[in-house]
Amino acid sequence: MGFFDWLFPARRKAAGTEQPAPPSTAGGGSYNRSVSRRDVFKILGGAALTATACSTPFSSKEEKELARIGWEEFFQKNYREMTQEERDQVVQRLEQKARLKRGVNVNIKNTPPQEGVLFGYAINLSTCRGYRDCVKACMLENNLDEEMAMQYIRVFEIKKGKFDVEAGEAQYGHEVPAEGNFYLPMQCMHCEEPPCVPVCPVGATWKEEDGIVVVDYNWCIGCRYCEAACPYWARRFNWQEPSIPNEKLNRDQHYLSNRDRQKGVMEKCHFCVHRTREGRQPACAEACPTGARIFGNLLDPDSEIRWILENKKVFRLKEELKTEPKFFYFMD
Amino acid sequence: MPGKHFKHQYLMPGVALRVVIVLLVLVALACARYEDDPALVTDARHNTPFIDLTFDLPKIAVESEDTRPFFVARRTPDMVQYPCATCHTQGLKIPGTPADYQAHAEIRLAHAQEKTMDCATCHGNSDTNKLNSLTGSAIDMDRADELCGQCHTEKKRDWLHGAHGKRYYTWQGTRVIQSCTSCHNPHKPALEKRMPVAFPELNPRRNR
Repeated sequence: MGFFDWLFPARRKAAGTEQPAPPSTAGGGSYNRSVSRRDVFKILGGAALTATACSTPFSSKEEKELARIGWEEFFQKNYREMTQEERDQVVQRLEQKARLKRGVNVNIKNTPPQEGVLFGYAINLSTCRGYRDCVKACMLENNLDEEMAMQYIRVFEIKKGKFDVEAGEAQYGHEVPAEGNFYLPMQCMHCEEPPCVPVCPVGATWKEEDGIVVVDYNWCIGCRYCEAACPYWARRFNWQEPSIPNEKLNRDQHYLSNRDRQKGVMEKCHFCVHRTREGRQPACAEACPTGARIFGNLLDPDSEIRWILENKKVFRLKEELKTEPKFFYFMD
Repeated sequence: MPGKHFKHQYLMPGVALRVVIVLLVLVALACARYEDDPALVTDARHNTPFIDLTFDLPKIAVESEDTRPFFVARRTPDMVQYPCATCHTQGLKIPGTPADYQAHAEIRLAHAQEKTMDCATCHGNSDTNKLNSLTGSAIDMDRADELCGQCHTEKKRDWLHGAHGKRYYTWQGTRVIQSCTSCHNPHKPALEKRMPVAFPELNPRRNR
């Protein structure tokens, strides 16, 4: 008795044999050609197709909703081309996504730049003592991936006597400040002529009107050209789906800053867009215990940062590249 | 029944009504005060109201010729032994005997040279709640900058303009900056070394 006999007992009827099949004398002795192999595959294939077509691919309502959101995100416009209503819709969609994926309510903003504001940053190297509190605050504020230990800020420990950032050590783990060293924090310089922007083949990164260089995480294709172009090593790539537990999630978010990123997109320091556009200091400046970090409006002649630029000997890193960073260093 | 008569008068509905009216007026006053609370600052350019995060900080207004008016955070709310006049009712004896310093045994002066400074450089005003300037005039305990700025003139200038010291919470709106003694121990002003925040471990979950 062959396999097909067992599978389709009706075939025997068609063959006119009511009795149990006689013991096969040869390998294919009782094999009848009335159902071909091709027919069997047709039936099986058809059944599989029908099963696929009739069943829903989503096991739950949430998955269906997430799939719809994913579909809409795929056809989403570039953030710069959106009207305010479209931006509001996108932000609501992202909030709904966070609700479904994480089960938490986040507040995603799309605050536009303030008029008459150009952000600048100054760091007092005499008072920076390398505590690295800014790094920690940044990681918590911006929901940076824990597994990859992503950080926007590097604090370099550099031997006194030579100003060489490349010889700096970022992973020090001893009491600070160590004798004979100084500390130089480095992050995105938010250049006026950012070299990372023109190299982007899709226009997913640009300079906002308040001088902040931002990334549209939904538009980025992850080619990493900007990472190669940045002379300050400021850009970071998501090699995997970023993960941050809900209890550590900062729910105060902005479309252009610390909302959930996906795998394969670039991110970087964005001067805490969600805070600074509301008049607050970036998280690193607020966390600095020595007050070495000064943040302010370069267009306001009475601001602290303008006084520093006018009265202190400030310098910028790699000035010869003419990137015009808005990130200044000075010493007392 | 004079007692009963009195009681009846006391519980007259008119009295209760008056009490209610007075309460209502008080509530209305409280609300009116809340409405023009300086905590609700409005950004003039955009009309976007945002909460002034510095509104509940204890602070003193400073009028300065060189800068916009700003505030210094007050130190006295954090000072355990303030006000000084609780004990020092008769003024200070400087220098005193070691027995006199028992209440301040933790203080070891490590500020400038011994010849330059002693307790009397900053303390010993007839008003013991105040600091003492070099010429003997009183300085408010919350305005350490006026005292320190007598010698540290350049630091004081930097601090006034924001190049030294730390500002609270905001870059826009109310400027509240920390006092000198918020960071520096006036008796031992050099900051001490400490361990940095640990460098984040790569792949913490994978190593488990």
